[in-house]
Amino acid sequence: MSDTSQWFGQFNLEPHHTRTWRVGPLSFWVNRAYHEWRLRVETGGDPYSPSVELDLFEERQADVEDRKVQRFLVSDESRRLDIGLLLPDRPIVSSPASPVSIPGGESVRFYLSYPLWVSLSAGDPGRTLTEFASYRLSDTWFGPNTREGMLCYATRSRCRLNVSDHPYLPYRAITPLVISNRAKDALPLDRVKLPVSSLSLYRSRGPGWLWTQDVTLLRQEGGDMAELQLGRGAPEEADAADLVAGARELSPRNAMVRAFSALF
Amino acid sequence: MAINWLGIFQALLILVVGLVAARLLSRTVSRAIGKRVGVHQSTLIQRFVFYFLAALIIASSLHQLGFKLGVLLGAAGILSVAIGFASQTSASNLISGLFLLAERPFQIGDTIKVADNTGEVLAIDLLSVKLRTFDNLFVRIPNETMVKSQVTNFSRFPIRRYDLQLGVAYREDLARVRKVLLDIAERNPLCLQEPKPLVIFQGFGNSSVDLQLSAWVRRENFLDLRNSIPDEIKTAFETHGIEIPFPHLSLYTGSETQPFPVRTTQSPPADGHAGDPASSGNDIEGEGGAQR
Repeated sequence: MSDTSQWFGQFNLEPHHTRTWRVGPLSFWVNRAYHEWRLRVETGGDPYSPSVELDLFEERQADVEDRKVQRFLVSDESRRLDIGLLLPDRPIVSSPASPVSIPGGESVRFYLSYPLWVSLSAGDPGRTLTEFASYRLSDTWFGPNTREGMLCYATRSRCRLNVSDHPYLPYRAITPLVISNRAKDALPLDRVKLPVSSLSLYRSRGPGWLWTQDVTLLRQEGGDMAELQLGRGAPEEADAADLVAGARELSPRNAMVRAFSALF
Repeated sequence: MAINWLGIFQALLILVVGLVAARLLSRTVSRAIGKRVGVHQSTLIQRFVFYFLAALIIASSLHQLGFKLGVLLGAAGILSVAIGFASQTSASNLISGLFLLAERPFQIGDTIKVADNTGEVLAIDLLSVKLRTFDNLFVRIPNETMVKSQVTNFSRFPIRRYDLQLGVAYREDLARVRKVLLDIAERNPLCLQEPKPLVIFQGFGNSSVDLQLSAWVRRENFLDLRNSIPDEIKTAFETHGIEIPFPHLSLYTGSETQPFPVRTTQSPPADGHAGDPASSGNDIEGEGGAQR
């Protein structure tokens, strides 16, 4: 099989040609028609499927009848198509699949994985056409009550401590998360909020894994507030890595955040 | 007495130019602060600025005409008492409007329910609140009614709960039903994982065990969830063989009688369903439900 990590990046699409991508749970095709780009996206496959299939064929499409096909009308006839990767647009709340707690004074480093978003740009210079999730995560609420808080995406995590235990999935990013429990009491890790929209995405040059910088949460004595520290650049696990996408929004590098628990 | 045409002209000029300037100024102020505050506050400030300036302009226009404002204000005081008695409803609405503005139970753009009217708030004026209902009707509700009525604001909090009442047959395993319902809620991406969805036992009904599925959803997705969850439940119940019963009726004429015999006659096969076994001769009996 060819390098499956190369399913994103720059592609050329001749007029009346269609490219298809089947990447894990996501499948989409892009067709280049006369002064327009056409896109059809389907998600909902197996969220842990590692398969990547790309295809290209000539196809002169007639009028679009399928209502799931999005059309993007453009003035130029550029053949350039950029498939980009983005981190999700909301924070991710990860719940351990089985109960996890961190004793007082301990500091652990484990790995959280979650599906990425795909962005499409066309033309030269590229104009963003759209973006969509490679797998639609469930919504969830994170806050002290049902009046205050924020909407996030929910995932379940195995809280793997060894990165080699992680299966390689080319549409998911991995964030190394360090939780340092500086309190005396144990920290039951019911759920942890990861501010992914403030993170950057990197691709390791060798195996092509997708990483974000590491995130450190320092839990102080009492309460669920934690000091958030974001690493600079790709994590050490990525070795040499290139930046794929910057953060969607800027956040203070050191901030007190509600990171561990919703209180209701 | 000679008419002071110049004075009248000047007064009119002050009035017209002043009111136009007040309108422009109030809009400018509203736009300037509109990005920092909501639509509700900016509209309020716009109105306040306009009314304040309009009062000043009218006062200076009257002054230009030669009226003495002190005498006018005294007369206005007496007049306002008379008008107050004559227009109690309007005054009541006006005062209710001030209470509404101060209490802020809702804002422009919120979706509220007042009595039987549910709709989007278009305006909160001094005398009334204007709603646009979902079937695109314009409803004007006097402020006095608003103050006296129960108002439900659907837009106050970002998430809300959808409660679906349903019943299952008495023979079903409730733990299994509960698991199927919670699995449906977990798989539906619109349904929030936290607060957790709940299955609440409601009671032993006449024909079914009554349950309630309560799932939280983002306010904007409420209608989508309300439409998608029942479909998913019906499909899942069919897949798992869980029965949603409907009221059954057994006819019984006492212990001395036999069940009513019902016989069907073979009709000509016009629609091809004559041989349907369900329509063959059978006695009427209850289908497993409670006999009444």
